[in-house]
Amino acid sequence: MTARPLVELVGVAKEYGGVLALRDAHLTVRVGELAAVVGPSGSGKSTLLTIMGTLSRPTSGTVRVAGHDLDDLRDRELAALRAATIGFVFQQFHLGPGPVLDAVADGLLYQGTPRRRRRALAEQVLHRLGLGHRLGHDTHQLSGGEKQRVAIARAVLGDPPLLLADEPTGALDSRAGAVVMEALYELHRAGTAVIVITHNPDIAASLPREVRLRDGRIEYDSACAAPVPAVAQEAPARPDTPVTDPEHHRSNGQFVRPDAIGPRHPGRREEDS
Amino acid sequence: MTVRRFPGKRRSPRPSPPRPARMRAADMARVGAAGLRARPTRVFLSALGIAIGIAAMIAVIGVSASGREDLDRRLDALGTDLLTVSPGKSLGGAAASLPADAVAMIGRIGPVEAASAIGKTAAKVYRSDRIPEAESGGIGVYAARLDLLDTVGAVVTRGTWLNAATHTYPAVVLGPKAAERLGVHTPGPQVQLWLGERWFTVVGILAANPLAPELDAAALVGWPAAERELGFDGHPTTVYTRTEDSAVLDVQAVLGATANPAEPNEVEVSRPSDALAAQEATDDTLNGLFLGLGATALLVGGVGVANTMVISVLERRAEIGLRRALGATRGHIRVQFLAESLLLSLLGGVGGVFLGMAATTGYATHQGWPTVVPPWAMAGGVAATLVIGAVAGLYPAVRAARLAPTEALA
Repeated sequence: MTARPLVELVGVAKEYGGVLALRDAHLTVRVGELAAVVGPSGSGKSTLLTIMGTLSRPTSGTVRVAGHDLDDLRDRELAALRAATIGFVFQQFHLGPGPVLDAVADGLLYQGTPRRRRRALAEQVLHRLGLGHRLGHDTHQLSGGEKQRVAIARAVLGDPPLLLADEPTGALDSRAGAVVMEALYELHRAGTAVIVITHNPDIAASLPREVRLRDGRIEYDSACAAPVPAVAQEAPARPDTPVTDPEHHRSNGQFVRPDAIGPRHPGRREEDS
Repeated sequence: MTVRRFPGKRRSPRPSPPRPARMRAADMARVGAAGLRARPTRVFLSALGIAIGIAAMIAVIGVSASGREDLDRRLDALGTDLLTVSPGKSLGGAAASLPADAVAMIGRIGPVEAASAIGKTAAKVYRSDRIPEAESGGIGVYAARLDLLDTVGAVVTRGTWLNAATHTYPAVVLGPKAAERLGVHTPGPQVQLWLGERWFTVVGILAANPLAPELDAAALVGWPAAERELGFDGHPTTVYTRTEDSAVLDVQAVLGATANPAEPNEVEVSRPSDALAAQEATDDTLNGLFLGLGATALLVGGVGVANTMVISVLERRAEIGLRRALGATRGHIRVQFLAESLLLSLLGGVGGVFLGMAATTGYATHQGWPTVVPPWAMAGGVAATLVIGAVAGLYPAVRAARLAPTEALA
């Protein structure tokens, strides 16, 4: 695994109104990787995703995406970087009304691709994801799993090297979730780096790499925890970032803290939007 | 598409910054239209606000233009080359009179094509000899020259005009109001009126003539008959002239001195078509009021559009966040909402133009006018809505663009 780094986080911290949502994060995602970011609600998963996805800038630390230091880029350049490099999949799909084909074709709306080409690509991607029979349907006619696969199709329309999926199965039942996960595996096999954010430890454990967050810290990273944990250059062990024993995360109860049990837990996005 | 999957094999520490793509105009319009299509009721209602304002203004302009067109056509039919000469007041304030040969003198002015006259007599006309003398009904008895009909452009609706025979006999032609007041509907040998202490036969009834309204309530008898039977002194009280169109103003200038060379200041020259036009033009203040109301409605409509757009931005945070995640710049978001606002008010504007045209057509048809909606008014209406859409959409668009992507997706 000596693929080039796609996203590099060095000593990244993010503060929201005096609260440190993420602190001293060191993380490298390489081309073609498949990794899970797992942690209880409020552990900083979404913050990590928005920073990796260049949707927000860190309060301190350095973020590099596809070789670009985020500090060097202006907002519009960041948008262009996002358009070309990163695909997003959200728990709530975020599909507008209208035909499936057009919803997917919107994935390249901001890259200046002509509509005819966008639609042709969308058709290809939909066929690839097993939704060829749904091209002309309206998005609201689809099942949850289909909606999420349409959202995935939209995210990967421009063939970005990185796909960030935020709780992609969070709003789905286990069978639909499995189909969606299979679609993500398929993209990974085709060479896309896929980061799945989840609070489900089973999904996390099933992926090749697992990054565990707790209270805004990267508590465990299976890529660094491998044979010699302390050697990892990107994530030097520090007193405030304890790299825990791999054994610990097996016990599921560990992820549920008292403050995480409440109405905000699984349906958090629904509530806020 | 500047950044590919493998951005260059060389390990340059600082690759050139990616540049956002320009959005195609067709895509902008499509995205804006999609935003509207998702909320048809709200779009309809806020477009209606704009439409009412535009419709009101178009209707006011259209109705007044149609009225003017109608007047122009009527004047065209009546002719704007009619000039009248009547005696004014002498310096001492006494009623003046025109010389008996005024018509002949006026007829000798080069561009004058026709000249005719009426002369007021002292006689009164009654339905019968039993009517009390005081109840004359405000009907004047005039001596009329035979060529009056052609000169003024009057039309006989029933019976005939005076001719070489009847104008020397006690025969009378009535104006429409005079006929109505006297209760005469059909002329004929047995229809007799008590006029100047003897019986006159009604031979014809005229149609109303807007250029010579004084004839409407007149009883016209032949010039020689008036002189012989009614003691008429032969002095005309109104001379009518038709002039070559190009020379109307010139003739108007010399008409007074020609009619009464001895006392040109005692002559009043007027152009009835001007008076008619002026009379119709008095509606302008009312039109101004309605235009003001239309403008106010338009302003309120604009505020409605702004309101709709602000609410739309609040509701569509997730969509904005998603678009930012797809790579939209702030500029892309701004343009999207601006396009939406422009389309929304354009929709109202075009609808308003059609509504205004419909209202104009309805009113003009009801009035029997030709329908005229000036193209500049339609173009102006649409242009005004574009300006309103831009102004109303600016603030919501800027707000949408300022929304941080993380905030929008939260």
